[in-house]
Amino acid sequence: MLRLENIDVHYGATQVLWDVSIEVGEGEMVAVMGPNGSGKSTVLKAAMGLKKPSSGRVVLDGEELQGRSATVRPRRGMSIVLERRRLFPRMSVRENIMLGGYARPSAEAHRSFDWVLDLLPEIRPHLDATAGKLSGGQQQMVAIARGLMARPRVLLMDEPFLGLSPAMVKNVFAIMKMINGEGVAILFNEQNAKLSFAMSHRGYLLESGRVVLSGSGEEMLEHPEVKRVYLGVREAVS
Amino acid sequence: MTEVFGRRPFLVLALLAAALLVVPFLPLNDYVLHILTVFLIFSVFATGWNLTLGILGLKTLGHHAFFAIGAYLSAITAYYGGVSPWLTVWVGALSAAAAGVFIGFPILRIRSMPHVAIVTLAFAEIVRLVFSNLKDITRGELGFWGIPPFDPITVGDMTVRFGIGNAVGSFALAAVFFLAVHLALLLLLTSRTGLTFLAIRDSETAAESLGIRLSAWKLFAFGVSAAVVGLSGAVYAHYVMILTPTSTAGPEMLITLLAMIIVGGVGRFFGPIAGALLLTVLSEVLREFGDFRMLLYGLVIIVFVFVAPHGIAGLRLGRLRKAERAEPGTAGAT
Repeated sequence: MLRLENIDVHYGATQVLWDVSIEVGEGEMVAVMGPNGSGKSTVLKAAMGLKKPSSGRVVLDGEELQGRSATVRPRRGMSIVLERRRLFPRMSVRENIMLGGYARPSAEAHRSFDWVLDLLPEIRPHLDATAGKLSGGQQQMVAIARGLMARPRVLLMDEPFLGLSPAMVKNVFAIMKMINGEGVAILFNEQNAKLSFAMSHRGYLLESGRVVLSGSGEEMLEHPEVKRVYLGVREAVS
Repeated sequence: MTEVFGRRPFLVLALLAAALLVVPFLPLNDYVLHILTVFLIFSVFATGWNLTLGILGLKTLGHHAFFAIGAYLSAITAYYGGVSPWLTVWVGALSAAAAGVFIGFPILRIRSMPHVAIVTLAFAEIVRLVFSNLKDITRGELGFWGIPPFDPITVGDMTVRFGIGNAVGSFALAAVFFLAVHLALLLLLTSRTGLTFLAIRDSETAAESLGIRLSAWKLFAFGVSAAVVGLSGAVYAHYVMILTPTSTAGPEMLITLLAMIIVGGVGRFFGPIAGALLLTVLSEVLREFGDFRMLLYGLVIIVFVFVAPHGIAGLRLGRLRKAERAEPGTAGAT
């Protein structure tokens, strides 16, 4: 349903992505894994239209989106949970979530709001709290709720576990599984190889702005290079 | 949005309306009524500017240009065209809105806030020079005098007159104008439009990712803000009945209004009203010091930036925050 084809991205004169191609199928969970500075976030920004690719195509259900602004995506069924949540800190939780339904008609947004709260009931007691005062984990819940308000078919998640405690990582992980179980495809990026590939149908390994490896989650976990470099497993010397 | 509007903004506005209703019945002389009239007009100016400066987060420094455009266009249309000021004030407001959208286009392309400040400041200087050099029409710095006041209104046996010599009528008109503009803006900003502005201020990336069209909304905000400021300029013109380019679009106006917003509270809806009251009164008290008043304004700005960066309105909010912190359960563990 979502395809990034041969994407190049530049920041000024500096190229950060080279010929990146990534595909997310209907209802799939897809991970983009890589070290710091490998271009993972830029992949998601290019997909969402927040960073314009210098070449290549972004195709959602056959419609080319690469030349169109980010504001079109939520109306086409795409949504993003940004890195470090990027909540509107001085607004209430309710206002933050409602803004997630900005691209939808008011009645539909109110229905989405009920649906989101049914999915994430732990948010309900904090609806009138100021978003910036919540803990990191609670803010991540709100960010996910805001992302779901557009009722996306593809949800992009930029470093969803960043800065969270191990317990909260487990919680967010479970929520991602649950959302995916609702039929929402998820494209996310993460630095932790084990976490990324264990939970995804498919994965991509990004290094210095290039896709160097791709395959199913299992294949990625079993790949010797991933094991050696990212999981710290040494091959037995024969 | 509590931070911007407080907990009960409509109640606050109703209390302000009640206070203004009482004023004409108090034993105040014409001079005090004049100061209050100027305060009300400048409050609208400051609130209009605060819309882009504080609520949208665009660091613009040229709104005194819109004040001058509103004032001069309304005055010129009324003076030369013989049109009633009741109609020409809208010419002033619309001209200022058009100028706001015009200058808004290049600003949208500028990411750096210092550059936004410089461009808007330069725009104001251009406007001042234009009005200064159109001597055949505006008489330049000699002053454009003879501007007609608002036409009198007759209610039963009573005729209410306006303009600088009619203190009670002018105060009543300024009060209605003040309340109407603030009510309209409050209705606009407490709706989804206000949330949209605040979302843009807090994170343009997040706002855009939610489907908010940044350019369109910024232009809209700029247009509304300029229209409000232009309208205040037009009302001012038909009240004082004389204008000079420097008194409307000069640096003194910039510093005075900026001080009102900073002292009152940038980004707080009611902040600029408090700032306008304090500094209009201060301005009159210090009138005998002439231009040295500007030094004191500068000092007041510096003190507020360091001691109370959120202005007078922020002082009250600070207490609200302390109270909220005392309430358990607003935040949990990560």
